[in-house]
Amino acid sequence: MNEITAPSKSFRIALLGNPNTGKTTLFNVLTGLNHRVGNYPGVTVEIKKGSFVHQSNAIEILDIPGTYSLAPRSPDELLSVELVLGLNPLEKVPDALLVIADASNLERNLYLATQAFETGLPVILALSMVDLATASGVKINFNLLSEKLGIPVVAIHASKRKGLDELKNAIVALQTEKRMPPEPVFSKDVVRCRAKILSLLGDKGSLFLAGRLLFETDGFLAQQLEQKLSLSLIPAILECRTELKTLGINLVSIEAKSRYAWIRELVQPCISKPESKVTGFTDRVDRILTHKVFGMFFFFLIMFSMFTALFVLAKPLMEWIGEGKNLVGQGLENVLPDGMLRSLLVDGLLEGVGGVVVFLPQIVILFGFLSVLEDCGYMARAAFLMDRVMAKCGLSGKSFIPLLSSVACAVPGVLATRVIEDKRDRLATILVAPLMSCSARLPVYVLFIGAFLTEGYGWWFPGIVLFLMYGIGFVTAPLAAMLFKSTILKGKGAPFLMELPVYKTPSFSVVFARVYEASVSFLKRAGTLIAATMVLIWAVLYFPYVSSTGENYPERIAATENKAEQDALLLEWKKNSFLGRVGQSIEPVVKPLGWDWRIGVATLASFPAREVVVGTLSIVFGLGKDAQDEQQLLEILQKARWNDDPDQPLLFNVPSALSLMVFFALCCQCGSTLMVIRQETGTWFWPAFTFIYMTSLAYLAAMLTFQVGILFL
Amino acid sequence: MNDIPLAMLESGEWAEVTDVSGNPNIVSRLSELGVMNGCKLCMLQQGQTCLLKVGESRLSLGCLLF
Ligand SMILES: Nc1nc2c(ncn2[C@@H]2O[C@H](COP(=O)(O)OP(=O)(O)OP(=O)(O)O)[C@@H](O)[C@H]2O)c(=O)[nH]1
Ligand SMILES: [Mg+2]
Repeated sequence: MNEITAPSKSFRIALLGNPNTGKTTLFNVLTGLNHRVGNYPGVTVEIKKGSFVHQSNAIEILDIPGTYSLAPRSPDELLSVELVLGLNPLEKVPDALLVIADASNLERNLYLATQAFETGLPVILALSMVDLATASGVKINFNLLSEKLGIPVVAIHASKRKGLDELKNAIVALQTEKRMPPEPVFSKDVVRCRAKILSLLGDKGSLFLAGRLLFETDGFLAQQLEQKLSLSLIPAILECRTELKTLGINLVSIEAKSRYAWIRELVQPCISKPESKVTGFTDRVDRILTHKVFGMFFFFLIMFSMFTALFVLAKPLMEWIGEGKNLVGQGLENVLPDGMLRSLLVDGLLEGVGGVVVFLPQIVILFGFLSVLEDCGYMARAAFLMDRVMAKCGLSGKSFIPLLSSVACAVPGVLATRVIEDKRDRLATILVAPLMSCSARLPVYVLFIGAFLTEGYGWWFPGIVLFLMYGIGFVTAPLAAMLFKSTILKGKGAPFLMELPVYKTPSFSVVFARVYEASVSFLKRAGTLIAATMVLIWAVLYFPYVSSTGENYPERIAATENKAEQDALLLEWKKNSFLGRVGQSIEPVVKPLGWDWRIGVATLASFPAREVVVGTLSIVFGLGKDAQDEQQLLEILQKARWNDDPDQPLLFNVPSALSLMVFFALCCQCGSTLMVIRQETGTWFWPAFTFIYMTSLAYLAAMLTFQVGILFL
Repeated sequence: MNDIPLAMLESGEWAEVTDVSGNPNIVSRLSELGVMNGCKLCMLQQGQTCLLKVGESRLSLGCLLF
């Protein structure tokens, strides 16, 4: 992700707002960047920077996680609050705040704005979702609101580029003319106590911080602040709290009460709402989609359609790409003379790159489905439905969104756990997220299902097998979480509390951007990784080409005409190679899974990143095969025999193909995932733990699959 | 009218909140979201995890935990 760094003198403005109010949508439109957008709370969990120039003013803009209040309850909210309050050691405090408020839920959104007003930073208020508010009959007098607040108020519709110029003008104007926002009214006792704390805080304090210290008895920020404060302050704070308590003021609720009372009075003249309580589209749909029985049925149906479609819909597309690849290959063979260049282009590059490109349709369909689910508003419903199930595992519905996101990739899935309030719940979710089948497992599933579980079965069968492969993750991850939550991570987590957004028609540009980005990074990453790994694997399989007794294999193969003798020599050469020796030494370990040494080394080579396995399999199985055969990897695998010996039985059968797929489903073969777990947990212990438990689990499950499979199949 | 626990509210029923108690962290977050004494809410979907309409927003929460 390329983040444009603005010159250090540019004006910095942070996008503060409730979750799901359209901050990232606005950020993307202003900066031309392409960060993730989705219709559920908690899409953005990191600080993202960008910049733009307006009337030769350079503006740096920060997109931050959404938060309901400046009293944070979860790690993602803490990140935003620390930035805004200048408590983040790595980021300077912004010069101003651009508060985004959802116009269709104005009062609730202004709560955060009133807190922003007390930070001492200049504020601009941007109202998003004005289209939705208007559609439901809400009318807002923006000029009056701006007048009453004394700050600029701009209505925007970012994706339609409405209100952007006005917004940019307001930002630029802010640099010269600082209009400070008003202060919300608290009762005079609270004001007195707060002023007392403020005076003790000295020049570093703000009205908001003083209020925070007064109201917040527990929680993320209080812990944070108490560590940073001089001890002398604490008795004064406690004294103020007791004083207010004796006056009958409830510290837990006084802040919200006072702010909402102030907001109501302010907003009333500016807004007109229809009085009728007609239930809208969202509530009517929710009657079914969040229903205990029908809702679960639809959830299952959606998952089933998504994962079977990955096979059924993608198959014709894959065949077209495969045919296109063969056409190009034939064309090249016709124009190029026989020799090394032709072999490099046709057998090396085309096979390698083509071997990756054939799986592109699956990636497109998977990410297309996921982004439609994310942008229509269904993700939060899935979390709602799954809360009951997750509660049985000691987690809450909040853990389900990171798990479902991990179906794309576990790295953003692990990051998405930042929305989980409770530390142990979050850790348990991080530990099990890599068990969900990510897009990098998809090629393995598709290849092996296509080779061993398609012919001779109905057209619907492979899709169902693929669905079941995904089912492994969906069942194992909650079970593993249950195990962790009842042993090493014991403790009662925070109860489920989540806002459900309104349903929307998914935006084409959001879906397209997500699919496009996923496809490009799939091709890039797989292309570079596979290319590099292939060269490496080829080399360790080629050298040494002279045996200990001094026989030169390539020369001897060239010298003989007999096909059987050539094959025997080739096998001996492979076994004698570095990789062959390693492979044979690990064969006893993988034999109980129904694998020979070649599958063993291909699997071993894919531990840093599992997407290379298709490439390594094609090298290990295909190297030295007659190039004229035009065989696909699929056929090579179907025909492979134990020890490459024509008299031996076929290497793969249904049980061994299943055991391989089960192994890939459960194994931790991804360096990036381990790195992100390290980043999020702050120690190497948890990535090591994840690696060990997943790999052992994968081994045992694959062995069980094979051993039970050969009894029945 | 009598006070009843949230979990007793039937789907489709409106009610006025008279008391929110429990873990102070949750109580204050709920109040920030507008769920506090005197507010009106509607039970959209009853159950162990319930769906409420409060003002313009839909909140889902683990009902039985309160
Ligand atoms: N109708 C309408 N939809 C909008 C508008 N702005 C954004 N959206 C949609 O609202 C949803 C949320 O947008 P995001 O930009 O991801 O919201 P966010 O504030 O960054 O959300 P978090 O990162 O989760 O805090 C997306 O589905 C957008 O397409 C708007 O002005 N009108
Ligand atoms: Mg965002």
